[in-house]
Amino acid sequence: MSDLFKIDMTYSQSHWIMPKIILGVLIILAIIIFIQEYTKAKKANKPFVNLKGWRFFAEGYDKVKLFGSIGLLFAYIGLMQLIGFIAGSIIIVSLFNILYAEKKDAKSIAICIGISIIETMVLWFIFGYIFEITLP
Amino acid sequence: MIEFGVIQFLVALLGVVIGIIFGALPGMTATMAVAIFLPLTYAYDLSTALYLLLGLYVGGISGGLVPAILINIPGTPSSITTGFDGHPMAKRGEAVRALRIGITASLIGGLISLAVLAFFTPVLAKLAIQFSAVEKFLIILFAMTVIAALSRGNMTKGIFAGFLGVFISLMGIFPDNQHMRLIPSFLTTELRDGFQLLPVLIGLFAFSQMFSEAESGMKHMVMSENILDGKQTRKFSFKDFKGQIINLFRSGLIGTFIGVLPGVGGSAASLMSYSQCKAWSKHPEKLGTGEVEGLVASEAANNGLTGGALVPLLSLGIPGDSTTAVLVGAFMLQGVQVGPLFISQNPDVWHTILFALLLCNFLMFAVMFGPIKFLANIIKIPMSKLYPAVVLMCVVGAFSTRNGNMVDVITLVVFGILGYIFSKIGLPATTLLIGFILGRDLEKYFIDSLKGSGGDLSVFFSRPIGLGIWALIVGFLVYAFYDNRKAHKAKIA
Amino acid sequence: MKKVLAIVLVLVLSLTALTACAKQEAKNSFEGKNVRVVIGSTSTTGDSYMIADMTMRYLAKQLKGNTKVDAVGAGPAFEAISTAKPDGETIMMFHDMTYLGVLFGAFDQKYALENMVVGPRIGTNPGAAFGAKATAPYSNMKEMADYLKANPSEHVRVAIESGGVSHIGFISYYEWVVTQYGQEVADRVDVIVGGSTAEKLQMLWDGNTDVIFADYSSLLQYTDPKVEDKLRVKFVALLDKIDGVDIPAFADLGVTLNGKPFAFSKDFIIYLPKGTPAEYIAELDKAAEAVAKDPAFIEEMAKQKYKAAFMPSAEANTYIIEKRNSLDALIKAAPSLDELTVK
Repeated sequence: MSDLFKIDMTYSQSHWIMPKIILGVLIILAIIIFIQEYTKAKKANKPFVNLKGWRFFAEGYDKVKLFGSIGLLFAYIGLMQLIGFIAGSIIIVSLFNILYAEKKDAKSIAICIGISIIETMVLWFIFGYIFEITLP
Repeated sequence: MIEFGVIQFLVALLGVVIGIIFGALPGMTATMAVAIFLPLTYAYDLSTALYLLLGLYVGGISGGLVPAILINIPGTPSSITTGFDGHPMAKRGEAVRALRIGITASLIGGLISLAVLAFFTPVLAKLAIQFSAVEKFLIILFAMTVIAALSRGNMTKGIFAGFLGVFISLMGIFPDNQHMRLIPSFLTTELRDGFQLLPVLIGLFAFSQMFSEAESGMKHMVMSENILDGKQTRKFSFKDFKGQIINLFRSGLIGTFIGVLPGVGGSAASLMSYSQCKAWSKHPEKLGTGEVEGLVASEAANNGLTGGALVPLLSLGIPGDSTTAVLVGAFMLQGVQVGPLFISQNPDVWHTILFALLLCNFLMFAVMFGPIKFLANIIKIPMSKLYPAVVLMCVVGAFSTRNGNMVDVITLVVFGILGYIFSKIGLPATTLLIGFILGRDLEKYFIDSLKGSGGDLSVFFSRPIGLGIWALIVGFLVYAFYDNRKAHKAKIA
Repeated sequence: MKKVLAIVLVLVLSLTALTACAKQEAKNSFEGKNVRVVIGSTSTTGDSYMIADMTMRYLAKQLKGNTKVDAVGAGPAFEAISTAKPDGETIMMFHDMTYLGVLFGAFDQKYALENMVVGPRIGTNPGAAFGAKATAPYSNMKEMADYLKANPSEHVRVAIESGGVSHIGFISYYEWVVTQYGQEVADRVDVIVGGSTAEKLQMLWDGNTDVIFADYSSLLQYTDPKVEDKLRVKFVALLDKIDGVDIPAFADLGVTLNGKPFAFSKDFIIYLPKGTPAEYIAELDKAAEAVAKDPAFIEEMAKQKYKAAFMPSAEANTYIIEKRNSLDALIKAAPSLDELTVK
């Protein structure tokens, strides 16, 4: 009986104690969620897996902006390592601004680039220069 | 006696202002601000250094409320709960009111903790050492009950996400025996220490929000209409605090107490205070929709931390949170030992600290209360211009978390995408984050408790303070489940 | 509008070009660089931080660069120094745990001394000590063994750091107890694996351990008779003699290391990433020698019972590898922490 309340504390294995407990809790919770959803579906007389009306993205979602944002972020990471913080940031932040801008004429693009340059330089000046924080 | 002069005043002001900037920028924290300025203070004498560093500390803790309220991105981990009610208020057009309520609550929370520091330090120090790993484990567990409070009406999923957060926090090396776990072997160098809190936090909040907005075309501003200065908008008034007195004191004291406990992270303070606020509230269902109550609880608690964290530092020589852990360096650099004899041997320094803290709290209030009106205009910037700037700040913040590590920037993006997917499949990212924040501490104190007992679980029930905390945990959970059922029934009916 | 834009663009481009040029021109020298100094401890009050901080304040002047001490902890520090680029922007300053951790198997073989460059030694710290609660029924570690022998039901728990200097101190003591008092007594000396000094102190106060290992100067203030009983600590043994301190050292108790009286001081050495050009090391040697001669530096070190003790990198390299090899047999023979920890 007392063994029930004892955990084996072998030092070299102690890093697995907590992950195992948490994993156990997660599995139990997953089962509960499954049962809850199942009974709910049954009560409402709907099939349990109902993928028909369900869609991941909102209707008429903005593909360009969504995937553009994700793509730009990864490009940003690569670019910073390649050409450094200042140049990389100006290019990517400009592209972000242009991507999100409603109008895309020459004037608004120019404004976008201008804003990006200012933002980057201000941030670089405060943190990279004055506070000497390491920037890429 | 107290050392004070024009220089000290200016230095404190400088500290407060810079601290607020660090606190307000997502990814920058009070700890970072203090760490950056610490080596510079070697040139000053101890009292001047203390004015500067305490200013940074108070400012850094307070600044976090600005982005939390305005754009729903917590500037520091301890202002997560500020956004729950602050941001809905801002969306209603009450940004200035919310900010001013937050600032005032911060000031009062700071003053409560200062009073505690000034009058109860020796008593509290003795109490703090009664809290062994067992009690600390239970306190963390208690803080985790906020997950149940936040998942009202959707409890199983909320708790699932919370434990998933704990699981993610366990990835990486276990410091006790230096063994790697849960990390694929090709990433062991990059993710040696697992994921870092700040990038995870900003990713889950800022980036996933950005993806959702991008999905719908980035068309809006944060507010549905531009009604910031509209006549129908509610203005701040000190009357807002009517009926909040008990809440203020409870929250301030919870924050102070969490600060007093060494090794229990600062974000636990506002989380616990928020869940208590919900438990005692007359209309708990309204919390999270822009209630003054929730905002006050969160801000009073996280500023309550400041005085509390100094208690063990000055009376035991043991820092109460991550910022005071850096702050202690200032004393060492000047050859002053902080420990059990500090107050009796250095009464002048002690009084100077109390005065500096008082000054910094009022300076923080003065610097923020008026000018916040202009800052609130951030909310008028269209999202299409706001988010690119947020990206830039977040990347700088994430990159500098560990002195320039690109892995942290990748973490930022990955958790942004994860948070976005979560919002799509109906799992709450907030509880995931809370689990993540508390996970490592939960494990540490669990293992530490068992190390002393050789693995015997009865150790968790063998101490009187521990039993008291158990009672609180169980009581709160019963309440939360009951409340959840009520919400559930209301939904069906 | 376009004109303004063009001007701004040109300005920015030239600025980036300039910064890029500045980077290329860099020589193999610390001069003008931002040097990150990682240390193997997370606390800013322990000897690792104190010595690194003092040294770097003086060294930065000699090197004409900026140094930033970063208390990241042992694991992250080893990781940083074994993966950083050898460009003089990352160095490590740490004590014997650098090789002990690997020797004890607490850290991976990839962090072995062979995978980094040993730089100059700056100083030593003899002040490693074991402390117990002032109310403990023994006043030194010999009495502790006597106490265990007299009370067969008692255990004593000792908090040490896995792979640290405390680990070597502990197993030497353990072997000594085995030979002097027998295995039965030694079995009742248990290990608690602890963290920083602050954490160990808390464990001592709340009764989760009986003896802790820490730096002499960081424990000193807690031994003051004016400190109240609940918090007061007493020294029960030193690893090595400290000038002017009257506390029995391991050697006085009869503990031996490789057949000789036990003596172990921590050597604080600067380590650099593998493949660091020789110019850096020569520059560092020169600067470190100047620092170690500076009377102000010596005095500041002595205040904390640390010693300035310069040793050029080549010499330090042979010295530290010899020290490592001399401990190899002892460590291989020692029981693992799985057996030593409380069960």
